[in-house]
Amino acid sequence: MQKIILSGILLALLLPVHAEEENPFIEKVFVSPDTYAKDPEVSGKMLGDNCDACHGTQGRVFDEGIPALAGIPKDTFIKLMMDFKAEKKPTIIMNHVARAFTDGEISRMATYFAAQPATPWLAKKGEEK
Amino acid sequence: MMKKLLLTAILMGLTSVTLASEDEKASTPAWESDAWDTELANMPKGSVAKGEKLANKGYCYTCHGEKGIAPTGNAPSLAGLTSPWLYKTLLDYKSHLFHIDNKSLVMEAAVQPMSKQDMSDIAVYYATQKRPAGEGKIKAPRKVRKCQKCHDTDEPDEDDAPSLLGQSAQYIERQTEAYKHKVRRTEVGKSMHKAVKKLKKKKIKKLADYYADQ
Amino acid sequence: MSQTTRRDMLKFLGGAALASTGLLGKSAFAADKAKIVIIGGGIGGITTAKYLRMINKDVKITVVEPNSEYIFCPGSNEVLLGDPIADFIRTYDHPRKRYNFDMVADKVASIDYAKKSIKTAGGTTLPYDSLVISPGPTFVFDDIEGYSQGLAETKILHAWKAGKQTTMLRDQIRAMPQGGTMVIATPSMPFRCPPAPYERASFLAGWMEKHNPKAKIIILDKNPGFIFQIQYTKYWKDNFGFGTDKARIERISSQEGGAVAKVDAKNMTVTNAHGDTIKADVINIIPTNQPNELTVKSGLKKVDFGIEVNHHDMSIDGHPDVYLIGDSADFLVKTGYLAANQAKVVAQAIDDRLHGKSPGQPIYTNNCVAKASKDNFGMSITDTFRERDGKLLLAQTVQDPFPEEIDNPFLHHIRAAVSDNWQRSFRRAVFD
Repeated sequence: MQKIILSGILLALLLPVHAEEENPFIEKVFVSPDTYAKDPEVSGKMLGDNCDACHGTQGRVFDEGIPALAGIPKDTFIKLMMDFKAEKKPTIIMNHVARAFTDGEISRMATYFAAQPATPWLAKKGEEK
Repeated sequence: MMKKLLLTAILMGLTSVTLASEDEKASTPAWESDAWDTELANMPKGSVAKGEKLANKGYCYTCHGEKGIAPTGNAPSLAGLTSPWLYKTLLDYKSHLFHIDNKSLVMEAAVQPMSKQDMSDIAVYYATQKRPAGEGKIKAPRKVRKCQKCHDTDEPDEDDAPSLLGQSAQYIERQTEAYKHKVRRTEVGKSMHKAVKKLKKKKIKKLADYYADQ
Repeated sequence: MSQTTRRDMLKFLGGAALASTGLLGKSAFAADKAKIVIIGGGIGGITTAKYLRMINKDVKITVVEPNSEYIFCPGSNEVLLGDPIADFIRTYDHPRKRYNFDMVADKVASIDYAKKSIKTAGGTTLPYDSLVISPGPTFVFDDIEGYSQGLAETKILHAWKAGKQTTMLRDQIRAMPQGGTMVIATPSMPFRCPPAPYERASFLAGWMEKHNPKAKIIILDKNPGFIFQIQYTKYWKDNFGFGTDKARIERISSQEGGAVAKVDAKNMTVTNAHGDTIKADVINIIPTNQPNELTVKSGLKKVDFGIEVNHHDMSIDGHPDVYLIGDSADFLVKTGYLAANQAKVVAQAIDDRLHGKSPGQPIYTNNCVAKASKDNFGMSITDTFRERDGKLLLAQTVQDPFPEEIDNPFLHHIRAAVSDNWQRSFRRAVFD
């Protein structure tokens, strides 16, 4: 897959388009996460925070179809994410989410989520462990 | 990776799509024994091979794992459950009888395009997979004897309740709470509500942990 | 006081969750606590307050927001189909108590970066140690002849900020004569929630199929193409005869003169860039989105996609301790999802600086959803942005489902359910 590492790539999205009906949205860009392997590390928490919109604050939504992540054992999380990353089978979205992260990032995310309490974020008093 | 995504394109023909109206969702009646007997008698003969393809096409493995063993506690394992039980569960999702909370919505959506033939195929596929096994270290709590009467046989028994052996503890807890609070009312005949209504949260957890470990 | 009564009392006060998490305790608001002022009580602003409080018990947080409640935009196209708008409304009581921040119910009139203070329209001056600007975009009306803010609030609605206009537009559509015409006009990119105009058209065409089968929607597009174009085009062809004479949705791209030049509210006509006039029963013009006027007025620098920021921590170069997030910031994609993730970067950066550390490495994902039909056609985009030397790098963008998957009906229902799931989880992630 083509590797594009230009900050100017964003500009390309809005360049004047001459061809009839051409879409200014780039359909697919994928830069291997290994490209960033030597950049300063993104922390497990920062990575984990990015998952909250779907999986809940600290990965703690337990009453929805999108699964909770809090409390998943580290090895289980890593295995799941590495399988997604390797695109072993088609998924709704997770293959594409996972492949953007380095192995190290996946490991740090796993550590972060394994450390979160496996109780709903909005637990009522008495329900928290 | 493109090839893998292409997988979905080469699969079987489509089935008709019906969506339940809002009224239907609210008023799905609970099962009468006779109605279920008739339904079961009319269950189409399932094909394991077709079921496997459908389980892929329907992305079942995303939550229920490869070969029906769930990777986390967020969804149940399906491997080794009986085909009538699996078939009925799919029917109950389609009719929205099986609606506990928002977590049920993805399954309610997933089964909408499925015909009864599709559901039977999927059911027999998962029924033929090997059930998950725990470590067998946890000692049986006293209360378990009552559950055992229906629940923990490895022998496929068409009339019986599902096996709980090796099932995800989180799933058993969630469902038991749902029966306890009458949120789930999918039983035929025996009332799960009556069976569990007096069980305290801690007891439920103990039982769930025990079964998950089997 | 017995245990139960005390608990009930706490619950009554909305403090149950607060007491149980042990996040906050009673933090002393001593005078030397760092003062964090957040402009805007939307997705960006509230997420900043919440995530900052989660990592820092001590700072004093003040959110300046004129409205007493927030109405989520994600989901507002569903309101046009009849979903209750109440599902999308959140009051500030809960987050304010749980995350222990103050609110000033006023608009911000000016920012004094040198003195590190802001002034509200009501005359209150608030000094800050750190300022987070998250006020949403400013809509521009004067680039279309005959269009105005007054018109947008009464007759030619935009409904581009969920609220009264959303239900007004819903009612206009319901009152459309049989066989009527609706025009949806888009602004040029970038604008808030890129797929939303097309989702709106798609939802409404589905609604019309049942309720007004001869009615028609014309999208006057100021852009040559759009996000999820492959998926929408496929869905429209399959369901609405897109591209034929009897199409329920017609789209006029920018190359074909899609930009609206003029609107005549009295005669209910719009004139496009090529001078063609279209008569319609409902005209929905989405105005040009610009960086918030407050940012421009206070002298911040406008670049291609918004106000220039340092993408390492969303700070403004030359203005120490000032951060800008959300639709006004220099980010091509304008979504609530991104605003929330920018907010988390800022919360971390503020806390890092308070502890004498330089802010850590950020990452911004935008894994967002849209639908072509409320119940059976969902889509998702997966964007990943990384940062080097203060500049943004697009590491990934993908739009799902791929064309090969589109004919798999099993997926569409699941995808639509996942979209709804995302909306609910997202509202909770911001406000709960």
